[in-house]
Amino acid sequence: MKLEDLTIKSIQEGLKKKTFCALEITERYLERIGKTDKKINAYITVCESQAKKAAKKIDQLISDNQPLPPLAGVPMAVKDMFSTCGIRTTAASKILGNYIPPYDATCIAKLKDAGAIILGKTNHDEFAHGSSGENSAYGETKNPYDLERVPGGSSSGSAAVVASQEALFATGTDTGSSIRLPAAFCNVVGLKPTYGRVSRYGVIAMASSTDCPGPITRTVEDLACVLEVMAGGDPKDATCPNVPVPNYGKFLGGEIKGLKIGIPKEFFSEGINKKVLELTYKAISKLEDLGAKIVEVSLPHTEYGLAVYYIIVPSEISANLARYDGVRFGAGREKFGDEVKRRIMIGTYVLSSGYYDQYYNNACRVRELIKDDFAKVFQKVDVLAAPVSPTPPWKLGEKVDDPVKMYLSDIFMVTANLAGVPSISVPCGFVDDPSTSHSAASSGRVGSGQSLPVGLQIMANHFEEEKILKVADYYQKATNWHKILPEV
Amino acid sequence: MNKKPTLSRQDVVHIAKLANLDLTKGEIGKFQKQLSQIVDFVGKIQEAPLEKVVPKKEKMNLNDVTREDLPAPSLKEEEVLQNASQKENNFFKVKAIFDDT
Repeated sequence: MKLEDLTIKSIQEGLKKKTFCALEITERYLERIGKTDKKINAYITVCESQAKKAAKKIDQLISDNQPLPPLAGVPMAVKDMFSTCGIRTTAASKILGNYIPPYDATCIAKLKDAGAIILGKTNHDEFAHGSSGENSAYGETKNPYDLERVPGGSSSGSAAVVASQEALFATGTDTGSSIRLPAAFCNVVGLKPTYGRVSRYGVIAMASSTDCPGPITRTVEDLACVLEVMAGGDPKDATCPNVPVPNYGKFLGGEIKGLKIGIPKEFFSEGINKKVLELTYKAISKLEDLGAKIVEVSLPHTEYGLAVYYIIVPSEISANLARYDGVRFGAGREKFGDEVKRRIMIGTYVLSSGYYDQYYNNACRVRELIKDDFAKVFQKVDVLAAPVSPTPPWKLGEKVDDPVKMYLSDIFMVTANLAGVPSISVPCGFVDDPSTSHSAASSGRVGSGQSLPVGLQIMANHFEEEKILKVADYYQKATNWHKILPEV
Repeated sequence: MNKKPTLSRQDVVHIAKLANLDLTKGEIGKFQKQLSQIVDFVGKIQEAPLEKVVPKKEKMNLNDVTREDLPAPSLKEEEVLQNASQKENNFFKVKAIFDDT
């Protein structure tokens, strides 16, 4: 059993055929974590004893000949923004350094019920505020493909563990890029679902009108399985409607002939890295070769996306983080890191008397224009394809003292959050073609710094995740970029 | 020539007070510069074609999901209090807010 060959399907088959037991798989992953995580610092907490206990329960089901739930024995990592009953949940902040939730987030409870095993809690930017993972109070996570570069944030640890086989899949949260950017930078698949597709109950709040929990996996097939478990209405989240959850796996494997893919011209602007642009165009022509119809479209208000985002999101942050006062639990507000303080203060400023109309109200109005852009475009096309990040992963430390420069990396991702539409990042190549490297040819792995991954973004209309998955799966099976693993 | 920062030191001190944050002198200077840059950056919103926006009743375009208001099992008292820094008789113990002395 090689960890890199495991998928949700192969684990289910292996368990049923008794090729291996659940405990063996969990132990192999724990071993891998012990070996590699000191290099990448992707976990804040590893829950060895709980994981083994949960795995033994699955093995008991097998020996009792009980039916197995869909994710039985599948080892997962959970971003430390998700409340996990009895497991420390820090939000990567010193303010919650000792916080142990007495309950599970709804989607975590669903994943546990489905048989998934929690290996540990992953690192990320404090309270998910950041695009590089460097704002964590528990040290930065390193990109498994280049240990001197950022893995992308905020779900930095979640993408890094999946890339380095320290978990089969991971949960992330995406408020303005935080699943898709690290997925792109770590050569894995990450989906920001439709707003309200996955319950936010028990997920530590960042910006309540854009927060979207979602899965990070190596393959689109695995992602479909995990999404099916995480998604669905929740009476505990008033923004999570009872829209039926389809069998996402059923939409995979079909042809994409005739499917209309829109290319939003505003996402191909100046300032985008040449190599990223080249790989994105290559991916689009691949989709065309596979039978899709490519149509140029326009999302004319994209240029205001970041301004709207950095007014509305900090406003909601300033309100949501007001609760951390150390009065009932947690440490005092002096423990907040710099980026958290900056965002709280920006939110406070744009909501304050004299500025509210000029900033917050205007931002809410422009958000309507951005939503209308998407609504109009999805009358013409099935999905949209675009770059994820305008650049490949940058060097650790490069942007930490320049918040605005850091914010610009999210330029192509924030509008999906503002409009609430689903969006995926799927691997679409490497800055330096790894097939020219000797070590890649012999071991199937690329050494640190040899090659930097790039992701392709695919978006669809509200609650049409299946369209995204269909295209992403077809593309992934035709290209196999995800099979190029880091030598970490 | 350096542009004068959009926010003054006094602005930063005022915002920090509203946000219940205690800043050190060094932080005030650093945040004055950084917050001014961010405020300038989001100022782009003023150039947006606001006249095109059709006012909508609901800002989020979403219907709230409601449920019956029925009693259901919830957390036990000791679970609710398990993270309390101080507790007494199954209550959070906090510092007095009003002081009569």
